[in-house]
Amino acid sequence: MLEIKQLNVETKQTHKPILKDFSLTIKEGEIHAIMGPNGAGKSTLSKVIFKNPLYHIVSGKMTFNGSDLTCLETDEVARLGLFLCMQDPMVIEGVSNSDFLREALFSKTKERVNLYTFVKEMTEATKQLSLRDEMIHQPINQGLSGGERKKNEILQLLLLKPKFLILDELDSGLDVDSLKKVCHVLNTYLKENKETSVLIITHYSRILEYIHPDYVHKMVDGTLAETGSLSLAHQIEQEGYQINEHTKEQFHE
Amino acid sequence: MNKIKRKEKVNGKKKECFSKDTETSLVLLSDADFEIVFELLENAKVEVFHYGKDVTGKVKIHLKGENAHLIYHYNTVNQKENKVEVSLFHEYPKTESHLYFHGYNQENHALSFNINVAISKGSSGSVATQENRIFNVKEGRAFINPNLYVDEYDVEATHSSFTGPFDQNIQFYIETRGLSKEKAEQLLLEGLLVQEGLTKEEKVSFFQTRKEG
Repeated sequence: MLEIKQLNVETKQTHKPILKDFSLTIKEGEIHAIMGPNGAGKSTLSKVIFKNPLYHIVSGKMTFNGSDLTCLETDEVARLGLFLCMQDPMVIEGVSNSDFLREALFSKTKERVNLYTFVKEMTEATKQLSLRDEMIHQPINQGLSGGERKKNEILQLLLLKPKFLILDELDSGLDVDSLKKVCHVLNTYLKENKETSVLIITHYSRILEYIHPDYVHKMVDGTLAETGSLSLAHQIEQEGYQINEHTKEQFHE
Repeated sequence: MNKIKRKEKVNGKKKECFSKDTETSLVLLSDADFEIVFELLENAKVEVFHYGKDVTGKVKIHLKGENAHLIYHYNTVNQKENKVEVSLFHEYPKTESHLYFHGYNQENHALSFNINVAISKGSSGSVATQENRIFNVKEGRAFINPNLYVDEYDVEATHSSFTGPFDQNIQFYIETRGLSKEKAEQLLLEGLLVQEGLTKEEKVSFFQTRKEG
C-alpha cells in the first residue's frame, strides 16, 4: 500500500534537513504507530506524504498502491484515497462544512451527491460523534473547541471513506470520554473496511490502548530508530525517547 | 419594531435618512461608481450588505442620534484600479458601527480601502470596529488605510486589516480533502464574499455577469 524508501526531505526555504533516509512500508489493513519527541519530524512526514509545498523531497521514493506520490499534487494524493487527520484543524471562515464536503465528494467521485442522502449521512455521522447537527451548515471549525475540531476531522473521514488514514496527534485536545468515542467510531470504520491502513502519529501510548497497532516505531531526528510491538510504546512511555546508539545501529543493520 | 428589508441597485448618488426607532436590512448592488450618504437617527438600526463589482465608491455615514447602530458589509471583486472611501461620524453617545470591508483583487490590479472613522466629543459609550481584508490572487496591489479619530473618553474602537494571498495552510487543508488549487481558491473567495445579504446563487450570478455600460 504505502512504501517509503530512503526518503530525504528538507524545508524549501531554509534547506533544513527534516527526514533523513526515512523508510517505512505499510501494507493493506495494517496499523502502524510512530512515536517520537518534539521535532523528530513526525508531523512533517504526514505533510510530506501529502506534498505540502513547504517541503522539498531531495531524494528517495514514496509510492501508494504503485502510484508515485513524489510526482503528485496534494489534491491528487488525497484522491488516491489518503486522508490526513490534522493535528490542529483550522477555522475556514465563510465556507460551510456541508459545501466543503460536497465539493470534496464531487472531486473524488465526479458525481454530484444527492442532497438528501448527503445530509442524512452527515447527520448520522454527527450523531455518532456527539456533534451538534447545526454545525453541518456552519463554517468549518468556527466556534468549535479543540476536541470538537478533532471530531470534525473524523466526520469528514467517515464521509470521504478513505483507504489510508494518517492520524496526527488525534489524542491531543480530546478528553478521555471523547477519545474513547472517537476511537470506537474509527474501530467500527476499520472493521467495516478491512483493507484500510492506518498511520498513527502520537507522543503518548494512550490512543494505542484503543486502536491497537500492529507495529510501533520510534522516530528520532528524522528517521526510524526502533520498531517493535505495543510493548515498545509502553517502554517509551516509561523510559522516554533517549536513543541508544547500539539500538540504532542494530535497526539499520 | 418592524424590520424593513430592501434590495436595490446603487449606481451614482444615493442619500437616505433612517428615522428614529426603525430597523432596516439593506442589500445594495453596484456595478458602476457610487456615492452614498446615510444618516441614522436615534435608535435606528441598519445592516447593509453591499456588493460592488469592479467599482470605485464613496460612503459617508452620520450616526446622528443616541443608540444609532450600523453594520456595513462591503464585498467586491476588483478587475481594474479602484478605491473605496468611507467616512463615518459618531456624533451622539452610545452609537455603534461595525464595518467589514472585503475585496478580492484579480490579476495585477489595484484596490484601496480608505476607512475613516471619527468619534467626536460628546459621543461617550460609542463602539466602532472595522475589519478589512483584501486578497490578491496574482500580482495585484492592495492598500488598506484604516484611520480612527477619537475625541472622547469611554469609547471602544478597534481595527484589523489583512492584505495578501489566501493563507497557504488553509489552502493545503482544503486540498488534502481532494479539492484542486483552483477549487480551493474558489471556495475561499465564496467564503470571503458570502454574507447573509444575497443567496450564494445570486452572488455568483451578480459577480459573473458582464458589467453594464
